[in-house]
Amino acid sequence: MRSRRWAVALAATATFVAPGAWAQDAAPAAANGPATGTAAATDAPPQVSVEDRGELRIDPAKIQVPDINFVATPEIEANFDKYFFFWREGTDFETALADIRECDDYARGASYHTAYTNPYMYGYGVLPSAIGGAIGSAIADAIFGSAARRRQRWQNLRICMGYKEYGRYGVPKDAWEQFNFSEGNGRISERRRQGYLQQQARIASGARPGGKVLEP
Amino acid sequence: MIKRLSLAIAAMAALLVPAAASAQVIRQFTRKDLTIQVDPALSYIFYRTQAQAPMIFIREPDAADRADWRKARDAALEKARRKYRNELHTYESAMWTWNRTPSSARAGLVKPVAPVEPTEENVVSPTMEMITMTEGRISPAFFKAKPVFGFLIAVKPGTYSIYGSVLMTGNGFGGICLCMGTVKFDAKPGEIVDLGIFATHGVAVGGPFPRMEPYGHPLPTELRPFDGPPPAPLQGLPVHPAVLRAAGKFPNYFGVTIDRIHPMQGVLSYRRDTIIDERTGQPLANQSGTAD
Repeated sequence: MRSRRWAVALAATATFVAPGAWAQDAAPAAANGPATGTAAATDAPPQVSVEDRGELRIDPAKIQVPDINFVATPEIEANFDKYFFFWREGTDFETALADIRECDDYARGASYHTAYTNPYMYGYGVLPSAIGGAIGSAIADAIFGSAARRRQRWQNLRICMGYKEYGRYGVPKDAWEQFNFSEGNGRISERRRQGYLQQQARIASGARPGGKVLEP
Repeated sequence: MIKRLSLAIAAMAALLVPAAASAQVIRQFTRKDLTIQVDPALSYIFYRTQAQAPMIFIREPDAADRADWRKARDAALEKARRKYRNELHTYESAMWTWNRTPSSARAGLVKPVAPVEPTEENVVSPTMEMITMTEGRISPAFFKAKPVFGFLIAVKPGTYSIYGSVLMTGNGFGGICLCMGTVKFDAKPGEIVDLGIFATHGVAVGGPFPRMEPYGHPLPTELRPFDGPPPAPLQGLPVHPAVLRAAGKFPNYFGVTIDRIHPMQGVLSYRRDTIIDERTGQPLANQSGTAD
């Protein structure tokens, strides 16, 4: 029974990674999930340029963030497992950005330890995408699909930020789409990704949100 | 619902072909191995799980691994350079034609793109993790005494970190990695190291995210000593409990669900996501699991 349960869980959590998903981040912006379909999402430029090798030269005051205050309704709350943000008391912007980038790396897999984060590598000039290069999963992708990938991204972000003891807060979908992105089978460009992560870090290190803290 | 789950499992089963990634297990023992001959040149890892599960270990590289890695990288670079020379010749020929084509006649044509010269920095070759990654497969089990499954693998001696329970197939990966904190142990020549039992997160022991349903992942994330004698084939052999110590974070190589091993008294704990070496009470000197 347990082995069957394990198999079910494995199937549920499996992310069968297509070669494209492990390749360099060159997918067109239009290939992203539904959350990038709004005007705010597709047009959003990086808020502030980021220098090479993770050196932070960002003025958080210049980062535009949407209004995240809202009147909760049952319909809005029903989607809080997908549309949420993180906030932690006493956290500065640089710390929040480093945390969010680390969790984003975990959520998108090994190929995406970027210049912004510690790649946790041996220092052999490793290109981790080489592991991904061994994968071929067009069939699996067709079975499990983009939705499963998006769900796993949410899950990994919640686990990672939960261990970092950030509180999770719900937000309406339209506001969420202004500072977040979904990733299914497609990939968002690195430039836009970093812009969104900076917005999230600004919120995570900003004023205490008005809503209630959700389960991790 | 049941039917849908059955279809999902059937789909998984259809995808279970041998993994493309390398995995350095010299031998995985089965229930038919009633007598174990311990090879003094090898180490043996013995562990139990509460559900039949694969287990991935990553060995710290030694000089031979580094030599293998260097050899593979040099070969990849040489191959890439040969390919580059051909591509460059093709590109130069195409550009010669392009430059002699009047602008008015270029409509619909695509300007040739120069190939990227391979270098030590950008060449793709097997990673060190691919060389040292060691896979205890989901099957065969060394014994089954449900709900406990036992696994015994013969491996190259060395220091191993427990990476997680990841099913590796030729078509993809699934499971869980202990990317945010795990433990390591020494596997000594001629000895069988007993890891204990991997308890199943969310089913038997709860966990920090018991309310993660429907994202729950009842997969093994707790390791604890097993109270009981080793199975009959191992009795009388040099079986030693693993001496565990904190290991650092690992990348999510396979893009699976992430987690971390449960805190272990005297071994490791966490301060938020900072790994604490319980032997010293201080943060682990290097939070990267692959760097020491």
